[in-house]
Amino acid sequence: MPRMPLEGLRVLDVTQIRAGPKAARWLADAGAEVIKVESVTRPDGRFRTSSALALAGQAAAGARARYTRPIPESAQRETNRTGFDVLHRNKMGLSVNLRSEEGVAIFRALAAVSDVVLDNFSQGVMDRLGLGYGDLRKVNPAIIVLSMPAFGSDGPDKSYIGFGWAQEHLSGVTSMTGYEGGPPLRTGTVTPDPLNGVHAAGAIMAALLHRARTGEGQYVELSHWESMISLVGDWLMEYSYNGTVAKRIGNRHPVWAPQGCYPSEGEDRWVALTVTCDQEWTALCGAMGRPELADDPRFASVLERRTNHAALDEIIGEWTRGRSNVEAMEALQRAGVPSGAVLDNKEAMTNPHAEARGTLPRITHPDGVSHPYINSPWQFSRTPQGVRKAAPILGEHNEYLLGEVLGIPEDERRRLESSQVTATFLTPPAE
Amino acid sequence: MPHALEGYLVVDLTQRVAGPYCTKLMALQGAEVVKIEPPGTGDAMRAMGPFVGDDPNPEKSVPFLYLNTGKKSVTLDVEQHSSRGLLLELAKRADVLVEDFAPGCMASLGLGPDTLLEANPRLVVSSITHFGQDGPYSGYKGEEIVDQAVSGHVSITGEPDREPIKMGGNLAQYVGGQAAFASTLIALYHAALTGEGQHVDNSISEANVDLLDSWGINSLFGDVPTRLGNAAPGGVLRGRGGLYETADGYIALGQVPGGWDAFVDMIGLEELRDPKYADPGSRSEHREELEAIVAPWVRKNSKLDIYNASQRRRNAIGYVATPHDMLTSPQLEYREFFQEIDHPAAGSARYPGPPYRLTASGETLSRAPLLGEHNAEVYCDLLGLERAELVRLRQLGVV
Repeated sequence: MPRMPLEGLRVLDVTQIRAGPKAARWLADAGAEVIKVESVTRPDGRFRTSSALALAGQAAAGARARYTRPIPESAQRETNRTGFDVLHRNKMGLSVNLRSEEGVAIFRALAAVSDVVLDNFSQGVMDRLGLGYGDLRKVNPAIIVLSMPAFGSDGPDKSYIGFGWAQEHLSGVTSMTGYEGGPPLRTGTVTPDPLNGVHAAGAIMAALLHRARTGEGQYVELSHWESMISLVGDWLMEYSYNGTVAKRIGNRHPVWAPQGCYPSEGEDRWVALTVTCDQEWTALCGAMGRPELADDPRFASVLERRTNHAALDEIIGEWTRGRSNVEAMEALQRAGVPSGAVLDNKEAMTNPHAEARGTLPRITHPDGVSHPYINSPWQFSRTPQGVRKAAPILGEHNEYLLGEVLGIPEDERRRLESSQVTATFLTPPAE
Repeated sequence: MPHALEGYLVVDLTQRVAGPYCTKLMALQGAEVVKIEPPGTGDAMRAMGPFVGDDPNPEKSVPFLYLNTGKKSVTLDVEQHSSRGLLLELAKRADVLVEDFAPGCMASLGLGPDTLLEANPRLVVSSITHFGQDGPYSGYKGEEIVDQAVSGHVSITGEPDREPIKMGGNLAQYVGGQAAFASTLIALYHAALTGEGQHVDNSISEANVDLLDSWGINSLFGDVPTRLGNAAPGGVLRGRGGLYETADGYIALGQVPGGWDAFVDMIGLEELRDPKYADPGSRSEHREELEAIVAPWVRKNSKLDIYNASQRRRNAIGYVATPHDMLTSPQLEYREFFQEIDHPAAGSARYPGPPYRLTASGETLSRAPLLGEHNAEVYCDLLGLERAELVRLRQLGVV
C-alpha cells in the first residue's frame, strides 16, 4: 500500500470539545499517529448530543463501548457518542491524569518522541501543568506546539472564556446573517469551532514544512477570535476603507439578481438559485418554460431585476412550487443556472452525488456498534487518506503507548493504572 | 529564521474567494504566489464591490484587496494557444499550482494534472471546485448560496416560520479555501519528503458538509436539525447563543462556567434570587418570567459593559461585534492584530492580520498587486523571456 502523506508523524492531541479535536483529526486522516490524550477523571465527554444512537437503539452499547464500565447516573443522558466519534476517528486513545506528577512525566516522555502537541485549554493551563512550550522544548527542541486560546495568550482579555457559540457573535458571522431589516441571526451548527480547527491544521502543516527544511520546531498560537475574523475579512474591510457596513440582506446577493430560496413541492422544502449574468437569466426563463420573460422590460438587466425582485420572486416561486427541490435544481443546472436544493443535513450526505463521492464510509467498532463517518472533503490522487479506524475508547492504546513506545515495564504499568495515573476502565460492565 | 513557506513557488490560477483565500494563506507564510489573471479584466473579484471610496476601479475592490495580499500578479489569457507553453514553464519551476476551473477545463487546455505532473513530478496540483472532480453534480455550477444549500447549512439557518436563509457573506467559500490550504500543504509535505507530487481534489461543498460534524451524523439516525432562529437549545434565557437587544446592539447571555449566582450578581436584581429560579429545571419552567426581568436590564446597558462584567465573573458570553467594535477592541489592539497597509490605488487601511501566528518563522502581510504588476519580473526575470517578446505577447492579447 502506498504511504499516507503524514505517515511517521506523531501528534499529541490534548484538546477537547470540537475545534482542537477537529484540527488533530485532519492530521490523523492523513496518516499521522494522533494520540488523543484524555483525563482519567474527566474524559472528553462534554461534546455529546442526546439522540443519534439512542434513536438507533444502540445507546447503551455505544456508551459502554466508550467507557467500558458502568456509566454513572449523571452521564446516562449523554449516552450518545457520535459527537465524539466524528472528531476522533483514526486516533489512538491515551488516558492519563495530568494533575499527577507521574502523569505529567508520561506526557513529557511522549512529547520527547512526538512531532506535534496540540492543546486548547484556557490560556495558561498547560504552563501551570509544566507542559507549556518552554517545558516541552526542553525535552524535544524540534517540537511544534499549537495552542488555541480563545482570545490569545496576552492582552487585557486573555483570560476571557470563548465558546463557539459566543465566537459566532464576536466574529461578526451573526452580524452578517439575517433577514432584510431583521436582527442578527445565528447559524445552524455553531460554525466557528470546526473552522478554527481547519485553520489550525493548516498552521501545523506550515510549521511542519518549516521544520522539514530547517529542523526547527516552534510555538504556534491560534486565537479563535482572530482566526474567525480572517474569514469575514472583506466584510470588515469595507468599514476599514469606507466607514460603511453591508446591511443584512437575507438570501439576496449584493449585486446579482435574482437570488433566493424558493418554495418547492412538500412541506418546508426549498430550492436556492442565483443568476449571475444575463445569459443565466435567459436560461432561467427557458428552464421555467417562460422564454418571453427574457424580453420583459421589467427584468431586462440586473438593474431592473433588482428593482422588481419581489415580482420576480413570485414568478419563480410559481414555477418552483410545482416540483421537488431536487427536480428544480436538476432542471436549472441542465439549463446552466447555478442552483442547489436546500438539503437537510441527512440529504446533504446521502444524495446521489455524495454517494458517488463516497461521503459516508461506515465503520464497525470493535464492540459491534456501527455508524457512518463523514469523509474528508479532499482526495489525493496518489496517497491514501481518509476514514480508516473507529474513534478510540478511553485509554484504548495505553498498553501500546506506555509499553512499546515508552518502554515502561509491565508491573510499573499495572501500578500506574491502579494508582489512577492511567486508569483505563477496561473492566467489563457489570450487567 | 525564514518564513515557513519561503522559497516555495505557487502558481495561482484562481479567482473570486475560495482559491484566493487558500493562496492568501500561503503568501502569509512567505510563499511566492504568482497570481495569473485574465488580461484586461483580471480576477472577476476585481469587478465586485464594495469599492474603496465607491469608485468601481479594478484596483479598488475591497474583497480583492483583502483576498490577494502578498501575491504577485501576471496577466495571461490561458485560453490562447501560446499561453500553454508559458504556463508549463511556470509549472516546471513551481512547487504548487492551485486552480479553480470547472472539472476537465484544465485538461481541455492541455494542462490537466497528468500533463503538469509529467512536466514536473514534484508539483502539487490542487483543484478547488464547488462539487469536486467527479460524481453526478461535478458539472453543476456552484455559488455561495448554492454551496450552502446543498451542504445543509441553509436548511438550519433562519426562523422556523420563514424561508431558510444563507449564512452571511462568503463564509462557505472561505471554508473551501481554508480546507484547500490544509490539504495542499499535506500534499506538499509529502512531496518535500518523497519528491512525489500529486493532484488534490478539493470540493467546497464537501468542506462545508464536514462542518456538520455530529449534527450530520445524528441526522442519519433520524435527528434532523431544523431552523431555530435565534432560540438555541441548552440553557435558559434563549439558551446558548440566543440574542437580546442592548442599548447599543445585541448580546448573547450565558451562565457557564461561572454559574447562575455569578449571573445574578452581575445583574444585581434581587428578584432573581428567588428560590424558584435556583436550579436549571425551574428556570426553564419560569423562562418567560425570567426574560421579563432580564431583558429590560439588558436593554438599558451597553453590550461591551455587559460582556466585560460577565466575563469578569467567568461566564462566557458573546456580543454581536461590528467592524467598528473589532477595529477599536483593546484586546485586538494589544495583540496588534490589525495592520495598516498602503496600496498605490486604494490608499491606506487597516487589514486583519494572519488567522494564527507561527511565533518563530512569523507571517508576512503586504498589499495586493496591481493587475499585471509583475509581468516583467515573472516572464522576463523568472522565465527568461526577452523584453521584446513580452511586448509582442502584450500586443497579441496573450498577456
